[in-house]
Amino acid sequence: MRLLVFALDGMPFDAFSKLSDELSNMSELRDGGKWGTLRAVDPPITVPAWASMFTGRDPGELGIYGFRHLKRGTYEGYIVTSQSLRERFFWEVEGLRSIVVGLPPGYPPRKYGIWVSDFYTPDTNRQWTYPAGIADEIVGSVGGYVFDIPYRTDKKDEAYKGLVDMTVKRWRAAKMLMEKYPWDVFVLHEIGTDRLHHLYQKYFDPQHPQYVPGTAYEAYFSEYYKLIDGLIGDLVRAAKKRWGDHMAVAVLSDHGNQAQRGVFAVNMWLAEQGYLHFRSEPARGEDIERSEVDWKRTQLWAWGGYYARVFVNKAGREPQGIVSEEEYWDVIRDFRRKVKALKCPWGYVESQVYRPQELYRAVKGDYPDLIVYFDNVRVRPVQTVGYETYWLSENDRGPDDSLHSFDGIYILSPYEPGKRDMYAVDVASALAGLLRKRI
Amino acid sequence: MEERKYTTVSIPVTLYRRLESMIQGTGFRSVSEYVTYLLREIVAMKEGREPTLSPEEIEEIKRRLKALGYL
Repeated sequence: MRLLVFALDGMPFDAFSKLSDELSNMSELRDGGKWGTLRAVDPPITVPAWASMFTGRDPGELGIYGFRHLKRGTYEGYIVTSQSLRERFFWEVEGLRSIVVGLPPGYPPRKYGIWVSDFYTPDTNRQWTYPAGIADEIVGSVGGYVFDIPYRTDKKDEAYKGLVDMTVKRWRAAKMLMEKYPWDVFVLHEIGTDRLHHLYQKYFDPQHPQYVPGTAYEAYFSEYYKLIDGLIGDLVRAAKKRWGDHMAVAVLSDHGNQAQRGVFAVNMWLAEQGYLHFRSEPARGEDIERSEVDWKRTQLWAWGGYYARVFVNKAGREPQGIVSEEEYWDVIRDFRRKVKALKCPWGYVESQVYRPQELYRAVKGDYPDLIVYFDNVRVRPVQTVGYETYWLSENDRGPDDSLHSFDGIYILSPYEPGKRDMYAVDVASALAGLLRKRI
Repeated sequence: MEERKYTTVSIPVTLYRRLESMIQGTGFRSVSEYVTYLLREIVAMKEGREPTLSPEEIEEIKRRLKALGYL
């Protein structure tokens, strides 16, 4: 049995629900298989989500909590790359031949099977495939390769052209590799599905507070998903023609996407609550990491993103820590209480505050003290400071229409048909089980 | 004389039998092919543990992730 995996970044379950009549290939797979909502890992972000799904280890066990970590005991951050992943993917554990295209964190290229790196890759002038020669083959047969598009932009028409061009090139490259080289597991990751939501959510989602109905952008939603569906059908047919019908197919997403309801300058709020102090007034929009934080008076500070990582400035741990072991739990309790009472401009919202130990089976590496989702991830916490208010009208990193949600999608075919929801960490064992099945 | 492309490595027969049963149903045509594949991957993984990213490259990745809005 061979396994063909379509890893569609950020495709929400409800996108499939809304469009299933138009997505004939995915619907055919669904009708012959098991499918449903795929509940994303915590936090619902590309890194660590895919790594968790394909290793079967939760982010705490992997010691990967996002695209970057704060080195514990310092105020310094560092980037998570493919080298940060120490666990093996399920196909590596089973010693199977693999071809993997674009899976994050995918740079530098992982040295197993055939590997094509991901949107981390600075440019095509460095080694972005393993083995290295694969890069030339891709460029030679496809005429170029695109890792990602600039999607935090107002140039929406241009962005869509780029999105389609990137996607078509990637799937052509995948088809060439899939037909040419033998494999047991083939994983094709497409970042374009996520970018579609970040670019155009407010044009097709009435839940978006800035919903703009009736524009030409509205059609991109179904148009792009139909493009993906057509490419899936084409690749499945080509794979079966080349390697035979003895093949399982999985369609997966690492998280969903939903409308962004607001932007919250979390460090400004922490300052107002008296947790965070500055030695000098920060400039408007200044990054907290560049600000002159008065560490001798600061108890809590945070990083933003899709979720907030809140760090306690703990005595004996951080260089200028002030929160003692005895105070630590009081500070956390007090913070939780204040988050619960947090009022957004549109009313009270439900936010979640977790200690990593409450979310994961093990907690390794450089974990934050607290993980916070504001309004069930519908409010984006930003870490920049220097604003008059902590509620901002837009994102500090450029226009962005969506935030992540926990409701991704999965389809595994062939399988006893039926809808059953699944947890992302169980994907690895489900796929390994599918590979062992005799059909 | 042309340099030989392959050589022989001895492994216990019991291990050979286990490997033989492991490749049933996969695309591997022989135990030799499977063992070569496994060893190549293990060697590559071990080599991969060496830090290969320069500080400049790390900065470039940071810039890229920032431009993408992840940082």
